[in-house]
Amino acid sequence: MSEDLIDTEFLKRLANLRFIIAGRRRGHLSGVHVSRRAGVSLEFADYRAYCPGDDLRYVDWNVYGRLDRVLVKSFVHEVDLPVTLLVDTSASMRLGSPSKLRYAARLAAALAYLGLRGLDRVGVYPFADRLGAGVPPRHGMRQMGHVLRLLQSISPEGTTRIDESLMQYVAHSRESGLVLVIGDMLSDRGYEEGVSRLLHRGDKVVVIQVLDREELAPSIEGSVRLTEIESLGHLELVVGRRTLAQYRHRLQEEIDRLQRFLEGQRVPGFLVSTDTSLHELLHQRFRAAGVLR
Amino acid sequence: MTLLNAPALALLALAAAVLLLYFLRSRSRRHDVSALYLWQGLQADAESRSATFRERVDPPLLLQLLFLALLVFALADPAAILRRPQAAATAIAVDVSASMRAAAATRGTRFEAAIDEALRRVDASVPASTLVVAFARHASVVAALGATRDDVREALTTLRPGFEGDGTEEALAAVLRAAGGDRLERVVVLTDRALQLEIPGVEVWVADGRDNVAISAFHVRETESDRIAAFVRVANSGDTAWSGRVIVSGETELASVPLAVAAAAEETLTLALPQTQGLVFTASIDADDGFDADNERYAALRRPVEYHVRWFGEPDRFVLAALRADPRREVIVHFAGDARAALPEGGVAVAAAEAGYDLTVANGAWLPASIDGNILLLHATLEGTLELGETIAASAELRSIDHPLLEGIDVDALRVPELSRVERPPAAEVVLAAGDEPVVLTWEDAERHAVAVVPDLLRTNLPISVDLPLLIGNVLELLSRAPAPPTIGWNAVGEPLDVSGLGTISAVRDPRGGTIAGHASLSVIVPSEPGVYWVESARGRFPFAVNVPAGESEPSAPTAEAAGDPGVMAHAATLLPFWTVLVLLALAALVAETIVYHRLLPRRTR
Repeated sequence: MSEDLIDTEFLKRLANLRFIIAGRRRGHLSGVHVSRRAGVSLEFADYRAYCPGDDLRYVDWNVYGRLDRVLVKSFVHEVDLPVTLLVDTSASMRLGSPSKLRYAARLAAALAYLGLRGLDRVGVYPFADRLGAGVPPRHGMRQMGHVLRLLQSISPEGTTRIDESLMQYVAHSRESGLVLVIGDMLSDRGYEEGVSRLLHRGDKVVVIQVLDREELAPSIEGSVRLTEIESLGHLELVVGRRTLAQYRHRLQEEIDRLQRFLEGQRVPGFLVSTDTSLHELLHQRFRAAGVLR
Repeated sequence: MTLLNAPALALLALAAAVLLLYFLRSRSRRHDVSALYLWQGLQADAESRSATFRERVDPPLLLQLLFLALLVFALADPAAILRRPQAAATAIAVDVSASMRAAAATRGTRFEAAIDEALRRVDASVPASTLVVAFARHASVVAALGATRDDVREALTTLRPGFEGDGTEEALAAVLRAAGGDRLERVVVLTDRALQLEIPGVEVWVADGRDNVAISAFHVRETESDRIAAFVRVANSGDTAWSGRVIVSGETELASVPLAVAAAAEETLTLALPQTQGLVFTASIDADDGFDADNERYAALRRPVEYHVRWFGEPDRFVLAALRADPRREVIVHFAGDARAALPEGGVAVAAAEAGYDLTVANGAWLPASIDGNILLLHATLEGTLELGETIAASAELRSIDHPLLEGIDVDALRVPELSRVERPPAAEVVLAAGDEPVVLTWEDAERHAVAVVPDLLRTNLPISVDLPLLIGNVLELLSRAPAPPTIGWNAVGEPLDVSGLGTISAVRDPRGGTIAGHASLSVIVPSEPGVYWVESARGRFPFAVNVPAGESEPSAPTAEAAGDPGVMAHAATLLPFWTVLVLLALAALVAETIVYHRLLPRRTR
């Protein structure tokens, strides 16, 4: 992945986008997202009784004069949003033209840019059969360089273990935030438990399933030797229209199963093909789903 | 259309290998998937089995087979046969070389068979549209375009084969183009050998012949032990062995030995003629092969030409040795001593030509003005023409011009410490000079052709260097051309004989004893038949042995198409090869296959 993942012109077109996060977050650094803790900002939140040690600047002297009660004003505490991008780098991401991994890396780069531009902390972690070494969330555009270097260095290898990887991330990360999982989500070992762990910890999760057009609508025909690129297991099969119809039906079931699970968890989920333009994905589908504004 | 290299079509068998590789590759076609569990348990599609076969016979395979077929076809060297209608103008070229005298396989000679064929063609052609050319070593027009049919027939029937060898195809083609121009649309060549004429519309008719036994080489030379040694090589080009006698005869002696030569082989033998006298020798075999011209061969010894030198002054052994170094001349020196004392009547010399002198040499002597002819002055004076003056120290700087007198001489190695001032003729050409003073000069006028070496030779380093014989040899060659080398090997009919250097020729006699006219001014003669030619001059009688060229003894070489079928057409029409077009088409097919494979076809067919 030595080529540039993303060009300047495309980044300019992302300038107006920003992540939307529902509810109040628990970030500890000032940012643009509303925290459930009271803090310092221009937005008034509530009054509370004075406690020794409170900043006297926040005592409402007008109320004290009228009611003879010492009350302290509290304000909404705006915090930043830790945005973590989990990118599937298993061997199956090698397929496609462009490869699914390259598409995922470009998407991750674009999302990282959006996060950093919105004053959020952004981190990236690759995963396959386990969570790989990544870039912990930090803010500032300098972080973009670290993110891009990581995305350019990753290569597709290993098998897919989504559950294990997500649980490792939960154990590794000490704060919740927005977690975007990007991968083909094709794993017979499951992904439900890993996503549930993220949600349980309070993370806001978004799943982006990336598949190649050839996976969605295979054009093979005749006698073929199907080889799973991760395990190198193979299957001899004579493929015809009926076989392809069966395959498409089975794949659709897999996709539907994922969507049903995500809807059940109120997790936004996106199915994208590698020939889907990032512009369309970010400006239309992500905005329509309320992930970006 | 015809194929000039039809065996190359066997390479089409490679198509089987292409097909085999293709189907082997197709059978194990691999398709990578992300998740195999999505495919497991799916039912194989029986209908797709027929699609499998259709898929295997796909465009890349067809293009590969097309590429192979075009390439193999190109290797087979196809040529289009451009059949022309009966030509309005036809050239008939008849081979009149010596080999056409050989007996044909059936009856008559090859030449007679060729003439019969030519007459048949003439009768079938349009009147006044036939050009007849006879060719051997040279080609000539026998009947020009426009001649009536009767004239053409007469020209053909009066034509006779000579004893010359074959010439080049280019010479024949040039004569045909010159005589026929653009009107020629058909050329019929009647010959007994393979010809590759670069002429449109050419048709080669090849006459076959019988097996031949020939004396392919014959030489004689003088030896100290046997007087004369003769070398004879007999070649048998037939399919059966030959045995017979080889006879070598001189003017006074004859030697005969039996010899057997295997089929398609040759034997060489040496015979001694210890008692023979004379210069002319003949070798012969008793082969009954239908071609007599190569059953008897001739050889002749040549004597060096006498060269008379009149010498004035002290003899110089270095110069005399240099004069005698040329094997082509037998130098005979007549010492005349001092010219003042030697010449009677007050120093008036007899004309050199009249006295029979080829060269007058003066070494440190004075010569009267009456001396004429070829003169070499070595530190000598020629009265009234070249006068030596005082002796001076010579400049160390030697300057020379590009002149035949200095050919092969290393001027930088010459040392001339002193020389005499000289009054030279105005027309003299200074060949070598020390500073401004001439060292070697030459001039020619109506009476004499002279070379002068100004310094005393013994005061130079010339006598002890190889440059002296070179200089003397150059002087002799400049003043009087040397005769041809005495041993010139095998003279062929039609090839010019160099008779210059033999003096004024008084008679040239052909092998039958006849005299060739116009001999007095001849420098070359062109023999027209085998045998011994005699050149007579004031210097003596000189024999020249002439033979039919050895190449004429080779069996007829029909073209591949006519082999084994004498007298058939080798080329019935113009051939237009087009293998280059096929190669280009093959490359186009290859490019198309590459494009289809990588661009146009979906991945499923790869």
